[in-house]
Amino acid sequence: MEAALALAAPWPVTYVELAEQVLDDAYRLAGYILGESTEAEDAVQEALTRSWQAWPTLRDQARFEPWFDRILVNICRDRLRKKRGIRIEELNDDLAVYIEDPFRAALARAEVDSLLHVLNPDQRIVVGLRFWKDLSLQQIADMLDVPLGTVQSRLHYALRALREEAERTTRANGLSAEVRR
Amino acid sequence: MNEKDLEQRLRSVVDGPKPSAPPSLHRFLRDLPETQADRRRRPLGVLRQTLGWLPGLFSPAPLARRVQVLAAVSMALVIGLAGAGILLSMRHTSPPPAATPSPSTSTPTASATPRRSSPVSPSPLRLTLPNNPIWVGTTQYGNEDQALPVVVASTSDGAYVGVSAPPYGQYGIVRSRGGLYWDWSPLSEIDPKLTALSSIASDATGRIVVVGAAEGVDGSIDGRVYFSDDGATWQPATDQSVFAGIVVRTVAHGPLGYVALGWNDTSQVDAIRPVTEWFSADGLSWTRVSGVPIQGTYAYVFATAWGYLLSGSPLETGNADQPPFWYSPDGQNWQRSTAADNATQKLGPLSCVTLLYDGELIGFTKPSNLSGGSGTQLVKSADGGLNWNEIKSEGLFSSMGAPLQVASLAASAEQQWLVATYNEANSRLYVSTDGGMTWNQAVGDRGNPLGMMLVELGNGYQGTHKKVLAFGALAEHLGVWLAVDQEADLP
Repeated sequence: MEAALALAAPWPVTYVELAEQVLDDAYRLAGYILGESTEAEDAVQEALTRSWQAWPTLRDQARFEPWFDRILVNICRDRLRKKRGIRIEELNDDLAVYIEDPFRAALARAEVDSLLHVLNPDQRIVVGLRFWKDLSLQQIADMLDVPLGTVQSRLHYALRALREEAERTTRANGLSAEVRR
Repeated sequence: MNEKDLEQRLRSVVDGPKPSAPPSLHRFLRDLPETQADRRRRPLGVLRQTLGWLPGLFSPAPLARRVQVLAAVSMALVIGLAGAGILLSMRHTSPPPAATPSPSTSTPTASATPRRSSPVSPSPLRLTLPNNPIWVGTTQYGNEDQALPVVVASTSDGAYVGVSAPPYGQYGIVRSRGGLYWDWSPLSEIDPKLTALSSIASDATGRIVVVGAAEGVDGSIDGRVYFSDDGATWQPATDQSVFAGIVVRTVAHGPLGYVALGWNDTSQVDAIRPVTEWFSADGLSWTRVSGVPIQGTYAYVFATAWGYLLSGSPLETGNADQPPFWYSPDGQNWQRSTAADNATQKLGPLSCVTLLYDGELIGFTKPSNLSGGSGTQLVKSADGGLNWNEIKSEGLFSSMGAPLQVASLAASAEQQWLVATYNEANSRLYVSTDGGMTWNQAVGDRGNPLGMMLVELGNGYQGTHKKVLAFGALAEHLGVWLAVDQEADLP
């Protein structure tokens, strides 16, 4: 029976065919986590290169998407870590940048763009996988290869930090409005 | 703001338009070469499809009956494929011409014409495939020791030493006396810390150099170079610190010594990945060479009788009309090659080169736009690699449908050119007897040889007397066929 089932397995597809199927989703995941399209494009390209090189090691093609996402998320984490050491001057008045960049625009529209900087890379990834990839906590734990409790903890502290930052921002805006008045 | 409001806000990020991956990413993906794993998997897929329609396999027949059918059909296929190999037999009818390079006939030479220093003639070649493929390592499916030589060099006593690498088995060293039977040894035989080997080269004295990577003292990956005079005992190069932090990928031996190239996988974008070059006169002491003119994913170095050829993505922009090849008489100072006007498309990097019996060089370029190239092309140089002409090939590129790649290339004294090609659909051997103008499939309609690579023994400059055709998967097995020249005895 096992022999027959094995032979009835799907026709093996190539790396390119499988990667094409996940490309858009991967680009969106990287875009929301990293916050801008150019970073997302670079991250996905790097993930394509790494996964292409590692493709011979993937034995179960049905696991391609989580396997690829894991590579991508690791790359995003590295990029976020490097980015943390760089001070970025925000050009708040440059609306064109927000309009042209779909991810910046989406984060700005939801009014979370100014909050996310308080998250460390691990927290931001958990937030991204939970709310933008819509994965369960267990799925996130599996992807990141960490205990479920670690994911719960990261998400808890991430949400708390975001709430505190939102409240701080609200207070600061109120204060500056008072000063202007 | 309470937690629910915050979560609502976060979820709303993805409520709007869904951005799609930009065309540049799709192009990047499509330009990735077909992986060796894809090619290895394909024969198994063909086998599955062929067997899939057999009702006996999927009917509610007893399991034992289905296993019997499966075994019978598998055996028939294996026998059929093996029998198809007999067809690839090319016999010469005249003695080989004298080993005198012919004068340059096609391309005007530039001012710095390479010096021709007594080239070693390639051996006349007769391809003979045995009826039954001889397997490398063991034939048990799933046996991790099964390994295929992907690069091979000759020892001073006429034996062969090669490197095996994934996906054709594990990293290791393979050895053979005659090219037909091979033994495999793990990397630990050379150095317990060695994690990968990728290339091998030998010189006229029989010294062999292998390059790869090892775990560094702080957990990093360092390049490594080892040498051996007998293929059995290995010593590290004297100053391994010159390879620190960079994986050494490829090595070639030319008139003045060894040239090695290295780069790391960790660089994120092809355009900014640096390529490092090292040079050694003896394989023992190495120096880092500055000014290597290439970068990126593709980096090739070839040795010829007159010098060295380098190919890859140009480091500097500009000169887009020139091929991404460089010539050097000493392996350290590189001069950009030129292409004649008949090269109608921009040429990609050279992926394989061989020396013809008359002293000219032929090569195939990769179909890549990463360095400005756009398709596989056959090119020829009459001056050692400084100037190149495109050869218009009929039947090789046009009949294959999907983009064709050339895995390897060999030429016999009778001007028989042999290429191992692959694309999305097929892996095949083609032969040309008219200087690359027209090509015929070597194994015709009697079966797909499942060719994946052509490992040449003693090709061109390093000429010896035997050559091996190494092929990837035949069903689940890795196989090697032997091709011998007319003077050699079968092992």
